[in-house]
Amino acid sequence: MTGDQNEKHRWRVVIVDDHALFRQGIAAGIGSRMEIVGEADDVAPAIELIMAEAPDVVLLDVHLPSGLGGEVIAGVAARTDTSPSRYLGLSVSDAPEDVLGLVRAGARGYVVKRIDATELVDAICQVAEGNAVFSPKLAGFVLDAFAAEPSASAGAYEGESDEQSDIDLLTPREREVMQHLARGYTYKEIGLELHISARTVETHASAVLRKLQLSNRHELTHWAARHRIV
Amino acid sequence: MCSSSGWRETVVVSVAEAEPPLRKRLLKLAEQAGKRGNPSRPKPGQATTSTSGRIVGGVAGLLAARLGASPLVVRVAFAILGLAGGVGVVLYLGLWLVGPDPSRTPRPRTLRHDLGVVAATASILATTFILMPTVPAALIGPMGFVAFALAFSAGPEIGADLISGRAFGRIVVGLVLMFGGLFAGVAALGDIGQIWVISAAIAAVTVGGGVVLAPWLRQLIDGASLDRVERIRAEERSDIAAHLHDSVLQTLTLIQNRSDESHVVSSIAYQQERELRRWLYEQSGSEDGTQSEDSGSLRTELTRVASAVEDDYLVVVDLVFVGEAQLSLVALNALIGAVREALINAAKFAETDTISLYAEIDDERALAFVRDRGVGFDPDAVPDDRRGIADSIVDRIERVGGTTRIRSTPATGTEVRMEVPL
Repeated sequence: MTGDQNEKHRWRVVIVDDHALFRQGIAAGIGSRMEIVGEADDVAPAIELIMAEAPDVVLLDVHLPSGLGGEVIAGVAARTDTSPSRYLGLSVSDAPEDVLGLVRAGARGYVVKRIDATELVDAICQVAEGNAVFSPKLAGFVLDAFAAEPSASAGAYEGESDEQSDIDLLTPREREVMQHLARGYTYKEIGLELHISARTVETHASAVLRKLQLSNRHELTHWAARHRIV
Repeated sequence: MCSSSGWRETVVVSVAEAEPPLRKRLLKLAEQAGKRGNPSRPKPGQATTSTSGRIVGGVAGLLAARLGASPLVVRVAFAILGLAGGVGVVLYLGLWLVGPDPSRTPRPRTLRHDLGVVAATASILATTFILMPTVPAALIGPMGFVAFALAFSAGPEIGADLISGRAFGRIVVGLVLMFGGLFAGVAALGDIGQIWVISAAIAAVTVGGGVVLAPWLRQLIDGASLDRVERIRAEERSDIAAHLHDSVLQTLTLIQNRSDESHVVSSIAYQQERELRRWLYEQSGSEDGTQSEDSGSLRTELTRVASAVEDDYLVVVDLVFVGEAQLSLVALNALIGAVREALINAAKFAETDTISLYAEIDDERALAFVRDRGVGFDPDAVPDDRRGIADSIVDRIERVGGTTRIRSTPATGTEVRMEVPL
């Protein structure tokens, strides 16, 4: 169970945020459970720090002074293929327009900045173990953007392989998981509710995250355009 | 558990974090003010005079640019048209008067300009004689004076020059020449009784005065609209400052005063954050007309109810909404009413500060879940005299053919599931 690992494993964490007060707040909140190996306040120093420290998890602000948080992920990816670091977005709001770009750039999810320390520790553990972190809002957005089953329009894609259209669809189970996440359930609670293991719930969530990152669904682009993000 | 008061202080930071969007919003406001209040900004398809490479008024250069022709060709065309019945001159003056002046920087006097004045003089003179072939030869000199005065005085920068005091002499010289020419004409003619001469004189004075004053007047108008843009911007700024003062700064003061009460601080900060967001983004939404478009929809109504409960009970309602479909008014009212009651129950009794509200609508039904992680209760153990849940939630939903399910345990809190058919 992940709960036991939370207690034992001190993940190495880097905090990237341009507000020193906020970084201090986080460090104070999670310092007893995580090892804070560094802090950065902008894109370039963050890339250097991540390259040097190879932390398990990077807490990454959506907006940095000289660019978006996604540029940090891209910057590290451009320097090395073997970075072990995983990214958890930090957003002031949970308006998905702030976060979709970060998730599409490779973050394993995001949390809002007013999250309390216990929940943040849980989210960091999820990300460190390679799982996805869905806020209720992000889950709601996924439900809005992805069709439940092949629709007439999905069938109209010509010459696209099955693999391609799989990325654009949620399985009924994934949809159930997303609905429960949107209702404020944790993975563990969803497992109890759906009579599956929490591990399986995590697998479903990760699969949905991958679809969110890889899909070219027109809803995603449409939505992004409507909210003026790329 | 790390919910120390030190951690809660980060809530304050999250309000400060709203700065980048605020800055964006301010920029947008400034931009809108600029668009609204600056009519002299050239728009596509509107005649403007050309700033660069102009000789007199810049009309020919601009027209050439618009037609894709060489400015020289256009100038020659104007000259020919000017000689052939004065059409060119009238056209030129017309375009020049109508076209707003995009530049507000005085252009240096050049030989080209002086040659242009001479050419314009000749053109006006020629036009006069073509239009009025019976003008006695004695008038050529005075008419020349008037024409030169007109051409000399006319210049787009006259207003700016006048304001700076530089062109005062030029305008005086122009006016003296003009009236001198007029009186010389009358004197040369000798016979004041000839109506048409007087008419011509009056026309000359009027046109001359108009030409002298027109650019200056236009400059004044342009200047006034610049002032207006400045004023609108200043008003926007003071509007924003006033709002921030009434809301954010007050809240920050409140937070400083009560910094030891972490629960109060986080409530205040969250409330302020939400209010600021609403002010920043919904204002712009209503400008686009997107806000009124779906008023009365389930999404809008749920947002309203959630905000109201947040404000009244100092809790956070995490609203997630999925789907798009229209609910009948009766079903909508029933569902909204039930959701409000469920939220208020959670806010009052669950002893938690966060409530999840998830709603989903498709072609068959609308679903809403209100969930808290609070203390929970035993639904069967609720005494009969506490009719709150039964009346306010279950009955409302049942009256429109829907179903309610309430699950609550002391360990995991409460979830109310409400479903109504479309």
